[in-house]
Amino acid sequence: MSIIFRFKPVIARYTRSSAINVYKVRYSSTESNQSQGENEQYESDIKYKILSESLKFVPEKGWSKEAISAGAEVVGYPGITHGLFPRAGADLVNFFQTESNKKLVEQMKVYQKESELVPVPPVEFVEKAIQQKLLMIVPYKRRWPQAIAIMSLPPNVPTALASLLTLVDDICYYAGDRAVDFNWYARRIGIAGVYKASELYLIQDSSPGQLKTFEFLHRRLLEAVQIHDLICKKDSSSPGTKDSIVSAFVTARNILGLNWNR
Amino acid sequence: MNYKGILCTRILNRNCLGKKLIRRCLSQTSKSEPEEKQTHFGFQTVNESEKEEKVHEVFRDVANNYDIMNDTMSFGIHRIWKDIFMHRLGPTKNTKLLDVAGGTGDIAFRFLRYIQNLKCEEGCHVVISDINNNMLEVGKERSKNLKLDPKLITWQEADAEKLPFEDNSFNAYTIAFGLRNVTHIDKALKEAFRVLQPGGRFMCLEFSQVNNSVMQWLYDQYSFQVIPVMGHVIAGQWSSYQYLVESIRKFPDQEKLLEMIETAGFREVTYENLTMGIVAIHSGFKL
Repeated sequence: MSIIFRFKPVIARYTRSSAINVYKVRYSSTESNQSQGENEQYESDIKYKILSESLKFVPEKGWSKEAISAGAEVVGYPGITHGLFPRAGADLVNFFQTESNKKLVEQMKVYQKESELVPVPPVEFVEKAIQQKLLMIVPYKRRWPQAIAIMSLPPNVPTALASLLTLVDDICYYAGDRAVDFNWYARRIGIAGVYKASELYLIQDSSPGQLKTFEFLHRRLLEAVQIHDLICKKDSSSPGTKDSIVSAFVTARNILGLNWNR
Repeated sequence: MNYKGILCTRILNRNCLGKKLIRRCLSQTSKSEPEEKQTHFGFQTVNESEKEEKVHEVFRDVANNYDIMNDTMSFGIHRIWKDIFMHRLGPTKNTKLLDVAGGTGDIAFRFLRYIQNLKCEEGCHVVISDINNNMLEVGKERSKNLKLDPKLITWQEADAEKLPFEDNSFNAYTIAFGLRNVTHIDKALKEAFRVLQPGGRFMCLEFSQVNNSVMQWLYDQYSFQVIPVMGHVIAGQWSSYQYLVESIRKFPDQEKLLEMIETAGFREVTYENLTMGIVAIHSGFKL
């Protein structure tokens, strides 16, 4: 007999009421809809508190439920409260990523204002942003391989990808990318690749101030720009490349018997 | 006598005879008022005051063969369910566990083994409570055989609806295959909420409703045709195991129980089905 593990989170059953007033005194509301929204806010506040305290224990205990237990104890709850986060390490890593993404957005807003006064080329903006993001990982550097391992597990891949895409999307947006064509994808994939490569470089980098990582990042970005330029130039100078790709595609389609396009 | 009594009630129920006759037939104390609330005992309808006593009788009769029967009826899978249950709880140091309806110690011993393996016994303690002394005796015997540290365990005969513990005195509350036998589930849940400290976790392992129709059919055949026979052959108890399978059908399903737990004040209430919903683990937090 097979045992089926099915976990159904039920928290999402509630419809989120649109405006949640954080400053309102909780439990005082008699309106059920509003109080449900407040309940949710109350619960997520607690989770937020526990996870932010838990992060302080990560260098010591790793991305684990032990770290969450220790964090919960700081907030004044028993260690057993770690059960609030059934995915333990993955929830903690995801929290860290979400929070650092938010912090990065704040910093990029500042850069954006600065660049209005003294214009900065987009590449430098991207480099600066990625550097900032990497610096946020540095306190957890020793434990970062574990985080990468946790987030590579199949159940956690969707959240990991989502947070990576949010990161590169934010970076591209604040760097001034407003493309609506194929470049939109190309830039995001390119930056995601560069970021991930630098992250991997970082975990084995022992140079003071992560200098080597930043040099590595600089070189990768230059390469990315070169490749990008190459594609763009090819595209405008010889339309033949494009044509040959399209014809190869059509041929392949015909061979497979999918020639319905008549 | 017990068996006959139950049979007798069922016939009388079917014949729509008055409550008074049923009561006399069961030779229960008939001090209850005519408008007393009714509850179910398996598929029978009985007065609320009677249920506790009847459940008590059932478990007094099955206590000695409880473990053998669990193994045979579930093909040993109940052990896996309980292991998963303990794994979901994930005890840490300073865990003060109250295991309600845990007479034979199945959950409590898993808890002790878990903390021993993780070497986090520091500040841990378990109180095993059961309404039935016979079950507690079996558990005590087993703990001696397993050579468990008696300092970590307290045995307490207690009613889940009126726990003799102070408010906020535990940080984990487990009830495995026990909630079904409680007369007022809502009262038991309120008591659980009361004795837990903020941040404490409530966890319930209980039979639930199967969510697949083919499985449901198989499960029903097995429950009604095989289990009572097994009970009779192995433990010499037909009616007790008849009660077992009937009470499973009468127990609220996953969503209903979840709502009841939320009503008692718990937050972040979730459930997880095991083996297609034959059992479900419900979990909630006092925040």
